[in-house]
Amino acid sequence: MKKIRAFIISFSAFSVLWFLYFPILIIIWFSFNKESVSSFPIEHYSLDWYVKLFHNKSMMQAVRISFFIAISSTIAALIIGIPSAYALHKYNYFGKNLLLKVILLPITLPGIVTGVAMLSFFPMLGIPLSLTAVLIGHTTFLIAIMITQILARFKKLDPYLEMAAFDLGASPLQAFFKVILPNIKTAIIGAVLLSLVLSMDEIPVTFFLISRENTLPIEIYGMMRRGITPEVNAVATLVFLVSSTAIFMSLKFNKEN
Amino acid sequence: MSKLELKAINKSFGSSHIVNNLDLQIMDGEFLTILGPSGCGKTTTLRMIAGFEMPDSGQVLLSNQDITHLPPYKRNVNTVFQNYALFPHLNVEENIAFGLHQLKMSKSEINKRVDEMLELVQMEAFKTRKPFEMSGGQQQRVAIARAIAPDPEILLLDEPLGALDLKLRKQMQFELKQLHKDLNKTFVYVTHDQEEALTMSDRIAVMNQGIIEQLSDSQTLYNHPKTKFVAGFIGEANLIPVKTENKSSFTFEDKTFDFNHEISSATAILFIRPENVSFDSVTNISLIATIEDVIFVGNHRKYKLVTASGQKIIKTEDSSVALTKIIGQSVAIYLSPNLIQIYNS
Repeated sequence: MKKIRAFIISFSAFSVLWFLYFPILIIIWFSFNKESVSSFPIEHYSLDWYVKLFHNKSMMQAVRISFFIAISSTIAALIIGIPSAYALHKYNYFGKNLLLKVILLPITLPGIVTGVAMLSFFPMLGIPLSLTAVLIGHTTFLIAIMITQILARFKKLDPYLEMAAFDLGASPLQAFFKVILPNIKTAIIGAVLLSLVLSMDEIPVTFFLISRENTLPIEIYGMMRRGITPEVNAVATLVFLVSSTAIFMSLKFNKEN
Repeated sequence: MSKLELKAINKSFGSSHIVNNLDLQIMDGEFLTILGPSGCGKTTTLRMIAGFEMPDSGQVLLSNQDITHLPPYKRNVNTVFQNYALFPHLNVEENIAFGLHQLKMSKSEINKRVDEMLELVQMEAFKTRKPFEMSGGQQQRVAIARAIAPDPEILLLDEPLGALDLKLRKQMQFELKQLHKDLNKTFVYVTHDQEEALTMSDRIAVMNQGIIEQLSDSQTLYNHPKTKFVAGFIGEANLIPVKTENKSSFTFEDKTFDFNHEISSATAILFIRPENVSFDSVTNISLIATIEDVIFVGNHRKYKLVTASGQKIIKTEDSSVALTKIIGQSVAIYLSPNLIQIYNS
């Protein structure tokens, strides 16, 4: 009886996983197909679509823009996130719990709500629809990622370490750089990798804030509207590889203590 | 000369008054222990010396300099924390060198000092180990070395042996005492363990509810506790309610004992150590009790006695004395006036 139950559970789990990941496997497989029609059986394998992809100027431009947005919004989120997490961990002040919940809003609210809100609010501040707007949009939800990830590590950190640093003559700033930062380093690296990935494949917020220059996901979306070419398969494969590697590493760093 | 002076220190957290108008003078080179139950304010007092807490009022003087409001990193005192608090990302050598780097010492001076410290705590072989690669006892030695390395004016120890097992704790007590002797440095030690305090300290400040109940050396503390709290907290004690009709005697179980005291209320508490209760030959004035139980405790044996009114009295005697009494037997006991104290109840 127990065996049957175990079998049913693992069978359903694997079915779900199969259903989720099989399409990705198919895409990876098709990306090596020489023919331009995605259908079985595949007769000739080649890297043609990858070569073509690297010669696609607008695609390469989109990759560059995506990297630029991902890296700069991650840096901005890092600069705001680390001190915020530190303050949230260390001090008690009025409205702290409310603040903690507000910070999480950008990742709990649907992207479309944030997107529309920013679309109508940014022009009021004189920020036109542009990469700057996208950068700010991404930063807002990456801050939430940074703060939650780093705050979780702060909570695990022995409070006596900072006291010991003070005790041995380190000023608060020295204690932060010499003792606290090295001990939350892995959490920061993990959060950075996760942020890069999330920014790289963000669509809803970007969609509302973008002007003429496209990020990679928007560019791919545009390509698809003109019909699925095997080039899309190739780019999807690359994105999948980079993202899954980053996520895997991020998880590994976050587990470390 | 006093190394450290606490003057009229008050500290509250919210509505609870943790330290209450505390005065304390610590002598240069002294091993002083602040002993008390948890919540008595001893750790808060230590933290105010270290600079982790600021007193609400009062003064902290270190070598006659007012340091009351200096942050911890500007005070020439170092702390050994209960949980060691070694920096996990640094190895033993780097941990010990941390305070030395803050003093802007040269590299060669730092190396020399680190080696000295490692030798002092006999941890030379562990120089490149990380904290998580060592046992609790080894980590504690490194924590001590790290705190001593910058040559602080006072070494503060916050229940440093609390997390060690009994055998190691005893050994470390001995080593800390030796270390204190070798370094000739002022140690302020905080603990709730009376045996630890009695073994190591030059003087002990017994703290309770934010005040120091008694400040004296181990022997005085044990033999002449000033308050009921100290009597009950240090060692084993018989605390017996008695009647005090005048200041030259007290009454217990309808027998009056001559004893000069200062108690003006009608009732008081009589204190006597179990080893000071002695058996007597029965006379019409002696106190009679029944032996309820005799327990063998290694080097001594313990009698549980109960008087006619139901008052329990513990008596201990050396196991080498021949056992002549049996359970249920009626005995006369003698409470020598030289060995008793009377406190307000």
